[in-house]
Amino acid sequence: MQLLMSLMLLLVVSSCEDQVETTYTYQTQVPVFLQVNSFREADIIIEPGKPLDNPGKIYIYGDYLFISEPGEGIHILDNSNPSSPRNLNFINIPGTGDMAINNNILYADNYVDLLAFDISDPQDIEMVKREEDVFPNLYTNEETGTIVTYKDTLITSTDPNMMWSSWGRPAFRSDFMAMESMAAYSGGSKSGGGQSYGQGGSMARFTLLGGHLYTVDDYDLRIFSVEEPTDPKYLKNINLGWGIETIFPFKGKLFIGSMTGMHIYDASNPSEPQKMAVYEHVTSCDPVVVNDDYAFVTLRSGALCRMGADELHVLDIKDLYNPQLIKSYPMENPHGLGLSGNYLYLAEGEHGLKSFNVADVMEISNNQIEHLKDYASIDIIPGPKSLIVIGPDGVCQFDYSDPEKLKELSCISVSFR
Amino acid sequence: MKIIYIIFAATLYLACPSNSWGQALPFAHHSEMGILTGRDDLGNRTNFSFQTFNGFQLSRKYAFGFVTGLDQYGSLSVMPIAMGGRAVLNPEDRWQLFAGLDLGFGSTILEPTVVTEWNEHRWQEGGFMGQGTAGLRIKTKSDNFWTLSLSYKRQVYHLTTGNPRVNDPDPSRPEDWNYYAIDKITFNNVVYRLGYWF
Repeated sequence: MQLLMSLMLLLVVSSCEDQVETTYTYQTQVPVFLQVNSFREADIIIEPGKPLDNPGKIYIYGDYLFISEPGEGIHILDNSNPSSPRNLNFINIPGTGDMAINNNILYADNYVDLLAFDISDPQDIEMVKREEDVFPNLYTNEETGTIVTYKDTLITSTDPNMMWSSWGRPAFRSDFMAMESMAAYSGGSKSGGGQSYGQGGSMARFTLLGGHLYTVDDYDLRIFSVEEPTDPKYLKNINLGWGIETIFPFKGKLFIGSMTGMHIYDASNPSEPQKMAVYEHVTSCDPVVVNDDYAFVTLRSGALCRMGADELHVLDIKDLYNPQLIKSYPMENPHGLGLSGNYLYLAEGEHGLKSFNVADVMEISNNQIEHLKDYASIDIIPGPKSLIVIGPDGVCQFDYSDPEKLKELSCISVSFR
Repeated sequence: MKIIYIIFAATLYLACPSNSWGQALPFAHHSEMGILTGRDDLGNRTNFSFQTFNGFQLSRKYAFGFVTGLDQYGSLSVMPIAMGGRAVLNPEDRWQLFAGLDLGFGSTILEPTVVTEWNEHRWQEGGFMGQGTAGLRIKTKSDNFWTLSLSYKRQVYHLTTGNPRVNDPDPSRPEDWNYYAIDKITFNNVVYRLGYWF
């Protein structure tokens, strides 16, 4: 009996080591290699309208809304009645990031190529041009025509294949290190508080000015001539440094928001834009809108721009060669913004949507009009018929004929979250 | 949380005389203090433990109740919340042998979520707690008891460290985090306790 007891005791005592089991869950981007031929040879298919999944950028053209689905394609909606937009078509464009529309021609990127579509009849869309190899930074090997894209992937493992960095916490895997910035880019719009457009790091952002199409990606401003709309021609590129995010045309000038500041280019000679000024600020994420006298820049802190501040900066741009910061206002988590007359609409991410009267730029914080907390918003477009608000949950339209009182007209929700 | 509620509800229900067996059952109370001993990567560890059993004497041999207390593993405080049973082999003797079984949950309610200056979020969750006990119960002159016991206690505990990718991350949504690591730590203890039963 005693023997049995002591044996049992021994068993208990010997199994007494604490067990530690660690599960690592992290977001990473898995590289996907693709041959250019595989998508060049495949037809671009116009599909019947389908529900929004991960809305990116919105473009208003006439009575139609074009909503990009980054990486997937473009939704076309009939918005003749903003209270009930109708889903028409979906252009299936793998690897697309952005778009622009001019003279019934829609431009969109398709991995390394630029495509042009005739949309004069949105019921019968036709591809009219493929300009090849104009976004070469996706190539891993241009000779064999191999490009690489990255797919967001959530990995859970118990494999302790993690490096511990100097301050004793798990660092990212080495493959993750390089992809961190990209992950933050393209995972953004789905997770709500991240980047505005949910674009991958090397996908372009488009704008049109003076018969030219300008695209920005991480480092470059690329210029295309679209004077013959159905035949876009690649002209040149201008290196802008790193972290380029948005491009905003206004009165012959290009305002380019980057992670370190705002670049102003004079595009009075559209094929040869000239640098006018760079306004530098702390690292953060920042879209720009402007009117005649002032530029409104939002600075946002985020996973990628941790050092950043959450602020609205007002710059005096009467002298475009020398923009001056005149005032900054603290904000919660500002993303995109839209300017309509004296009213500024500001997307505060998960914190909702705010409107301000900016007639007196020194008193913006005292002139806040509304704060709609229920509409998580990322970007805002003051359209001719409605104010369009894009958020992680979908696209909402507001009647803003009374700018002091926004009225919801309709909301298109994403298919799932 | 639900489990805790059920345990509480059951204890309260049984405490009410009309719900029991016609008459109120005698209370049983057993408080103990002791040391938790175990081994981890760094060697042997010795930690403080306090627990209290409150319940009913179902018969001379058996008691049933609710167990709570505090286990201090270094700087980590775990609060056990469990159902417990006690059985005495020879209640008629002065020196008695007893056994106990406690099953429930260890809570880290006392541990706050920490955000470091590197924006690393760190939070803790408890987990399963199970304990088996054998011991001696010695009758005092006032019909109370001193106890000496030896237990095996298993306590599961989770530590999560994460680096958020959004401003207001949801701990249960992996998409909100750049990475997170969950350490599931199972403490295996041999516990030596001294207690008083009345």
